[in-house]
Amino acid sequence: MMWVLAGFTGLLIAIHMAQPRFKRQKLSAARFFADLPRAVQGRKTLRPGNPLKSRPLYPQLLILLLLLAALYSIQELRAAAPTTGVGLWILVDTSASMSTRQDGMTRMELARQEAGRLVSQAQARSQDHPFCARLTAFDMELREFVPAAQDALLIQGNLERMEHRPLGTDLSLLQNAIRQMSLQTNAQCPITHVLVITDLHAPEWVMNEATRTVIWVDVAKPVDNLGILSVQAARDPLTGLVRKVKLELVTYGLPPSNPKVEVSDPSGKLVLDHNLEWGSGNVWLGEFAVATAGLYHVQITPGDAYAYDDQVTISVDTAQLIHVDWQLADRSLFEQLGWIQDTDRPQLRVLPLGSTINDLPTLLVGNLYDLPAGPKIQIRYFYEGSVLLNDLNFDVLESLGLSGLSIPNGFTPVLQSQDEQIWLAQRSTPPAAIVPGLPTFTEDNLGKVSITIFFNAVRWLLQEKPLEPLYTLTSPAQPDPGVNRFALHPNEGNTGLPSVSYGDVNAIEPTPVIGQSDPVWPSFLALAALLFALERTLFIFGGQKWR
Amino acid sequence: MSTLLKTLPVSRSFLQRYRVQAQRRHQLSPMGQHLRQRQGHSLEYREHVEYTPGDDIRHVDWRASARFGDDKLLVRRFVAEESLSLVISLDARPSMRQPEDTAKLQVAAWIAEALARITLYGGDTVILHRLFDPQDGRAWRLSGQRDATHVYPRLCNLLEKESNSTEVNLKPLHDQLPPTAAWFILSDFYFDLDDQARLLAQRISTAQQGWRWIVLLDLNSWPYEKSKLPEGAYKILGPGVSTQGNDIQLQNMTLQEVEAKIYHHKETFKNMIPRAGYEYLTWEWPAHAFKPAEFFTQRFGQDNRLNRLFVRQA
Repeated sequence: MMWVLAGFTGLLIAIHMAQPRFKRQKLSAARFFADLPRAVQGRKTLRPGNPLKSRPLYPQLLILLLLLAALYSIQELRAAAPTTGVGLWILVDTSASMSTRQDGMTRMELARQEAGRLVSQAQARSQDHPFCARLTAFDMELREFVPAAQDALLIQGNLERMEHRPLGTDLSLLQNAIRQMSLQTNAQCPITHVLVITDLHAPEWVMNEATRTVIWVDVAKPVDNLGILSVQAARDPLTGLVRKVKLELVTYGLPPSNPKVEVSDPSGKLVLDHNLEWGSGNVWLGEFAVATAGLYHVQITPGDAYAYDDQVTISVDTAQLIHVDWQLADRSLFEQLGWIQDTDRPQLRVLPLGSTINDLPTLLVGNLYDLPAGPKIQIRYFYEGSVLLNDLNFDVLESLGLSGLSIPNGFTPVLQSQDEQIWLAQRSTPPAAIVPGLPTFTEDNLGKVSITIFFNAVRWLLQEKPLEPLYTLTSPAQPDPGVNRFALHPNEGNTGLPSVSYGDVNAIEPTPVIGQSDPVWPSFLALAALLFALERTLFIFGGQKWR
Repeated sequence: MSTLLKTLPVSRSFLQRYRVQAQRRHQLSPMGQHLRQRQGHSLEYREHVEYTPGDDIRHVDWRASARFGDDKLLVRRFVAEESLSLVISLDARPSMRQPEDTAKLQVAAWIAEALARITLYGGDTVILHRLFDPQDGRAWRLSGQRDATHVYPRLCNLLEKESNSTEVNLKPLHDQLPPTAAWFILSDFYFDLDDQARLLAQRISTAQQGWRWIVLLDLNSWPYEKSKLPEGAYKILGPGVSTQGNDIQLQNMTLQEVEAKIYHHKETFKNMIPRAGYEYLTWEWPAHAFKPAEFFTQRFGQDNRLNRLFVRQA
């Protein structure tokens, strides 16, 4: 836009310079100039000196430029926004802990009441200055309910739509959002104050926040709660099957009278029915065995103020077994281990030595055990620290008289004989191992060594691709608890903490809006008007002398 | 557009002092200057007397001298007019209304008003006359002290109307120029040198025959206007040129050329007057900014030629 102004200025000067610059002079002896030769050189000669002599041009040009700058400023800055007022951003906690009941109502209901009351107070504090408010819910995400409202009533009406959700709380969302706001200008509702209504303590960064005034209202009161803190599965390391489920229960405040934990199996039979007793600590550990696949339901009785941690449902099924791409001809061990054949998404590939391998954890099996035993051969080199050598008796190994393996490039020898025969090898990335052969399951030294080597390799390879967890936590994408999806977010069940608030709505004062600048177009207009008045006054009183 | 004339910037007491000082300053002088005297020259014959050295040779009556013989010369004696008739003709053409801030017409009006009032204070007669534009060509006759207060309004009436007419207005003067009257013509003499100018020149010439004192007062504003023309390009506007003006690149040589043309123009007019028995006075404008009232007051008080109008012989 400034280029347009500059171009316009240049055009005006050029037009002025192109005008015939004959000074008009009225004389009584004008008739005696009639016969003189006409001036030709003076016509329309662009001489740089002329604009400098033209007093009227420059004031008029300056006035015109100021008026144009004023118009430009109006469009670019959109100076209709107020510069001093109250813009209140209300953030209401809708996490799982807001379902806690206290004083006959949930914390969510209490938060809605507080928010409605405080927004009216804040509007009253704005006095005659502009007021606006924004309503947002937060838990594990920010959800906008009202982007901008000039009246507290609109905010209060939308508070009723807010409900708690079985999700955790991410305070970093608030901190980042408040700090990011200082870099932005919300033209609808410039924010001067932030009001957070939650059942969490006011964190330290609230007190140190320099960009906006943050008022933190903690509506929580300590209430007793007994609930499930964690659920862990004990799995067979080779099959992946859940064999046991370990429970961790916690109590905040006083435990209820006669608390009990009950676990029912897929048939409905109670596999755990335990009266809970508390000692010096507030954590109880227990477990139950998983005999068959199906749904297992864990329930704590009696119910209390916070319900999301009182029960969970666990599903144990074959999807949790180990999936293996078994390509050896001998499938007896595969069937014996109860693995699931899976060529699409296996956790482990078991291939004959010499096969083409990919990025999946791969066990390459040789055939050394099938070959005639040779004389005793001493071990020349071993890869110290390799998991493949766990619990191996080197003397027994040397007595087997094994031949050597031909290993492909990229593998590191783990066990090598004096005559440089390689009996074990491994690769770290991607993980792979080479073993002499399948376990023989004989009663001699070969049987013991072959079993040890094989399962060392399998354990090492399976840990690189862990099994899916027993359960997941609820998320904004899947907020409802269900089978193997629990609302056991950290700290949500910790209902025994006293409230810690910060700030006071009654301290709200109209504040200059950060990021907004005072409109500048009135200054340009005033200067143009002043210059115009001065120029006209000088002309009226000075007349031709001034010009 | 009318020219508003300002009132005379000097007081009545100034004018009365002016008349007294004029009478003390001057003595009788030879023929050719108008003097008010008890025994002098008029058209009324009184007697013949013998010529004595110093008498005006033009008044020798050759016929009577021949009759008497004896080689004696006889000189006619006349009865002098008791009262003065002052005729003031003012040029009110457009060029006289320039320069705008120090108009020649304004100064001419002040000269006319001052001379007229002094004349009227002495009980004499004044005729105020507009030199050009006979369509409005009246002549106001004022006489005696009582008419002194009417001078300014009569001048405004005569001069306020602008006119581009170059037709000389001589008819009102036919019976307003008695012998021995004084006739002041106030002009810048920028008018066209055409038939009208010749008529005026002829009238000036014939007026001299009745022992009238003819004064051509040239109001010359050229030095002042010249001072406002430094070198450069100008669009010259004014009387006698078209409304588009003349685009001139001025240099020193140009101004000298213009000055020469002005001088030549005025000389040409003077040469049109057959008889040279008139006085040509010049009031030059200063070549710098000035206040017209101060200029008039100083110039009028110091001009020894104008105040001879009021000299009287005891």
